[in-house]
Amino acid sequence: MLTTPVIKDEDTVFPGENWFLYWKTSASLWKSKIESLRGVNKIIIPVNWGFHSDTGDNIDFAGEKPETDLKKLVHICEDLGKEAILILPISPVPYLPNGGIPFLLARTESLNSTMVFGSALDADGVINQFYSFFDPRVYKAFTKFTRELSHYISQSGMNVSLWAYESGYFNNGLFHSYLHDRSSAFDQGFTRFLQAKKAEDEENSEVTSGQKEDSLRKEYESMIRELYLESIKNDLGFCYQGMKKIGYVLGRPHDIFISSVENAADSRIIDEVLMMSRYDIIPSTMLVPARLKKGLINIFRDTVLSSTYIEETFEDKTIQNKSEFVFHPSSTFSFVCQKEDKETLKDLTDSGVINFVDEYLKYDYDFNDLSEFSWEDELESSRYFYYFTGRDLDLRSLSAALKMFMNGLNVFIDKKNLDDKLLRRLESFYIENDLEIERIRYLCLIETISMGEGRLFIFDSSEFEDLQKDGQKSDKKRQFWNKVFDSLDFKYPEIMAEEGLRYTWFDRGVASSELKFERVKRVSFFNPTSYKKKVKVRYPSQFIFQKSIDEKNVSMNNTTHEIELYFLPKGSVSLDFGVIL
Amino acid sequence: MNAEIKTQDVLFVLYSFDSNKEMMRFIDLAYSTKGVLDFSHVEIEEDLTQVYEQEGRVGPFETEEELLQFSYELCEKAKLESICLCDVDAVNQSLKDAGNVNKLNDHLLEHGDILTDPDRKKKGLFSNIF
Repeated sequence: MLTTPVIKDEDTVFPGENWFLYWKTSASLWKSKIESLRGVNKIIIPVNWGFHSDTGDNIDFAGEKPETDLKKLVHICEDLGKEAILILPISPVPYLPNGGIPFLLARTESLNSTMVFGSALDADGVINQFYSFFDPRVYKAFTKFTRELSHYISQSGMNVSLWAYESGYFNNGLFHSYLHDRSSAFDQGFTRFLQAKKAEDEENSEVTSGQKEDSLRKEYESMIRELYLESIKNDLGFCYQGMKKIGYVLGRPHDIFISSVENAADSRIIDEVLMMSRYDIIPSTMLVPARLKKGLINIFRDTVLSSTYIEETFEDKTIQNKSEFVFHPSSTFSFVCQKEDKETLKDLTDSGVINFVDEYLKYDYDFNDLSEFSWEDELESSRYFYYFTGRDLDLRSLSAALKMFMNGLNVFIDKKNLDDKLLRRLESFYIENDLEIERIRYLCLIETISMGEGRLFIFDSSEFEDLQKDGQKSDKKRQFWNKVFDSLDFKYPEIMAEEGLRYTWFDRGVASSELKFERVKRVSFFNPTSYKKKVKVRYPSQFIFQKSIDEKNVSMNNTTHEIELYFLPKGSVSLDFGVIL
Repeated sequence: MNAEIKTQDVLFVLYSFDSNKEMMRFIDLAYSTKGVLDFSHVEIEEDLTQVYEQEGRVGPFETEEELLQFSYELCEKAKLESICLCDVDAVNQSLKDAGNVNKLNDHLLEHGDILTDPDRKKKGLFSNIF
């Protein structure tokens, strides 16, 4: 059963990840509050639309309530040497009443796919219900708000950057937006959308199959999302920086009910944060009750959701300020695909690559959205492998993948579901460049090409479907990937962790005193269980153990190329390795 | 709310209809004050259902009787006295009325269907079927 929470004031106004909730405290206290925030250079200020307007029509910026004075807030940040970053939602938010929309606009309840009211539990145990962003009245009022916010910012001479953000939760490898809605407002708009579609294309007149309707629903949802975003871009383009997805830990619809009977385990909080950060979703612990943000969870947040990480996430797009000498989340392996497509996820699962990478390079991989991927940015990246799914490749992205290979990067391409035209493009690439192809058959035909440091690895995972369904299918796939990585001469530490332990990787560039290394990698371990746990790290000669830091409830035994760690409950530690490639 | 029912004796079963699967019934969540029931660990004696671990729900149940029978089995395994069977309307009304998580289960008890003494009901149900 739940106990009565003791909530500290700072948890209320600073719920984590550099956020400052200006409406939760008096404007006269803003300065002292922000002053007390040590080691934070950027203050993330979520603009609370519903706080600035009850009706959607009358909008208050310091006219009536002193706590709506964003200009004062931004100036306080500047005076204290901190940068204020405004963030504006294009979807319901889980931490505000009515999902953040003005009170009088809260008319059409948002419904999730099982027709349950869209809602979330905030850190104080309050159930916040969402209202439909597909209601034309909400959209109209939103455009008015962005116009007036634009006018206010430009008139008041605020030097501030602004990001749009979409809120949601992460479950089963997918981000689920709180914008998603099946309410009557959605249905009415969707019907009009279908009529318009039919009018513009007679072929679309028969929307019969469920799959087609689902795809059209997604298209309509996407269109409305773009409308909200366009409103921000059009009105606030002078300070607009981009769009972010924010995933809330404990933000799943079921968490409301589960929280009524049990506290979330530390491991659950850690897992959600780690998974989201791998999918380029900014994790927020704002919904986690203050009573759970203590001990190991605080250490974990300081390590994984550090101020540096948050500040770099909201970096001005015109400034390349990412420090090479500060640890960043490491991604040795990167999936470049339509990461929110269920079919893509299925292809990745069927090929066995996800399972393999999740074991072999656990929390040292990430997912990049193909549509936002820029291969030029990767030339200086510390990523080592790139994996492209045939289903998602088009001519542009295939060309990018091939250019990456030509520039010395390691590229995997799964030909499953690759368009015929692109297959021919791939073959002409071999011929045009007079490439020597090594062909091996192991479960499927594998083509490998080497050029300088780059390696191109092409295979067709659809051949795996022919494997006998004898229960050894996953073993065979694991063997396949083991052989592939063996052939790449890639050396990596082997981590044998007892069940329940969690760990994640970081890396950084080297300082002048460390020139014998290419990179420095850090692995941080956490024991969220209530039991003693052991882990063995066996590392290759390319990894030179440097030091352990932030030891808490842990003892260590270090022998040649092997470290054993003995954790007490809630123990944690980080190990640094210099890497020679 | 039934004054005789205590929250700690109840298995809350939340279910919905899936419009993409011929309006079949699915149990989305089952929990008690002891915690959440993990469907992947529930052994289903009767060959009624298929467990969808990925979706985290159990179903499909073609009829109300199938849903009830399975809920009784869950209740029996959880050693609880009563079931609070909540359809989408009951869940929505409870979310709307509760305001705070501390009151949520009281509202579910008020809006859901309470079924007590699973053993007796189950026998009754089977005697109706056979």
